[in-house]
Amino acid sequence: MKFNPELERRLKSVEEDREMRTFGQNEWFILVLFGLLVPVGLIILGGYLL
Amino acid sequence: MSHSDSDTSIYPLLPSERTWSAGKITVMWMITGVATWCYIIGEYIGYYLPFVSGAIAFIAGSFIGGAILLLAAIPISMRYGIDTIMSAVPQFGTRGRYLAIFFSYLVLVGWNSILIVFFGKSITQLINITGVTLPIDTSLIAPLATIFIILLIFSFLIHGLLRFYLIAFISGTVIVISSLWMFWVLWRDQHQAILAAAPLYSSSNWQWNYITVIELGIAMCLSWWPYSSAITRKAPRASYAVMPIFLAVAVFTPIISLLGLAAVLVTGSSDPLGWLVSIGGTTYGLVAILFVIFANIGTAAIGVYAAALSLRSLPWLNTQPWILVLMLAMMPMIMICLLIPDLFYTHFGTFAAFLGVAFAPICGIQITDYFVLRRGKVKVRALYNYASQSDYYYWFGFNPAMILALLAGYAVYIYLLNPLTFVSHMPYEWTTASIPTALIAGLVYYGITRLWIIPAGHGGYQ
Repeated sequence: MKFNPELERRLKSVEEDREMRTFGQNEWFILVLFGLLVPVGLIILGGYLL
Repeated sequence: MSHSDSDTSIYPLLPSERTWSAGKITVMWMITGVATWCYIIGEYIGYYLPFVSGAIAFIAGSFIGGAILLLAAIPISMRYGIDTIMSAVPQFGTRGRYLAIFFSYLVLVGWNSILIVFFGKSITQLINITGVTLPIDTSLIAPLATIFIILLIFSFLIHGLLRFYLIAFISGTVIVISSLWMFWVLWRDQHQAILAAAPLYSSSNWQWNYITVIELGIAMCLSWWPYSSAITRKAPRASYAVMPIFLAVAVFTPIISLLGLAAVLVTGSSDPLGWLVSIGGTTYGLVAILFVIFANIGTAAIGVYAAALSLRSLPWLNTQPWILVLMLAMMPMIMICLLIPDLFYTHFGTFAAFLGVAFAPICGIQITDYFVLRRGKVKVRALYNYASQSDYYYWFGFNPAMILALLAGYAVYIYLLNPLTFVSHMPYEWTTASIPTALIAGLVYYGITRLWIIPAGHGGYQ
């Protein structure tokens, strides 16, 4: 499909972008820590205090 | 296309346009999260749990919700510099994205209506408290304040979000200082009462109360789905999104919510204007109104921006002037705030439960699709191709796997926790409603895609 020149330019730029811009090890570590371990710990603590 | 124009477009941002630092992203997320809705959330926590366990449960729920949010729309938008709606095209389909626009728009209108109405009510209260006599009928104060805030937001956003940063930074500073001060004032005078206070309308089942507050934390975070990529697509790398989001959803927002929780437990009202005036007179009341003005304007502005950006995904608005899209985005909010101001405000509990129903399955489906089925790869060109040859056209522009998985998710959520009656069924008291909903929706999506969509050659799966 033919896109307008501006969109085409942007799509090319994104496709040629070599920087992955995805979650690396550090981000996965933070996600597991704050998304899983910390809340589980908090839930146990809160339940104990209740 | 200038830098400012790309900010008001749904086209992917160029790497050179993705220049926001982690600090800037943090400020914008904080402005998004911190608003007077936090008081209403705090009030709801106070219905079910006392202060300490309520605080812990809500923060835990917020961390879980923040992680789900981070794994849903954000990885796709971070990777390609696109907004939330475009990030949902691979799952919803080229026409199915209208459904995503509908959900986003409804939530943004709901939240913004609450904020704007709160603003109008606060101005009315302030005028009553200070005893200022105005040459107009008092019933006109709230509508006039509403029109004022709407015009202000419109003027902020006329050039997109880029020039809004300075205002956001000032708002953020005022919000943090005034919140800490308000918390200190309340804690100094009432800390024993806060710690000893019993919840207002708790169930006799403590586990139900506890899990309901965790669910509230999760659902609140998931409701940020429409906002999420509007901000983070401007970050140059993924690390700039993770910590700011956790800080916003699990630190800043809960802190302000706890202020509402503490206030409702000891004064019966989460609105700081009322209790600050009773403690320190009109001077304290002025600080509270300052907080309401700054906090609500910032959040409402980002909400309007996200709503306008989602409307840009409609083909007939894609090339229209930004000012027109902005006006269309604001129109329903204006109508609701002026004609039926209490629609969302007085039905907040139902609205909050609707947020969980609406977004938990969407998040579960997006996570499954992007990480499990597509292994982190999306065909960015196909996102903008609405023709029947597009990989994301599926059948008539709709992905049946998405529709069936959404329906399965809704059924699971409503079975676990009815958002209208709050009647729950096992295993809600152990699992919450949002987490199993996201899991089941993801599983149904995975199964249908593997068994039907991929064999039929649709969806661009490799």
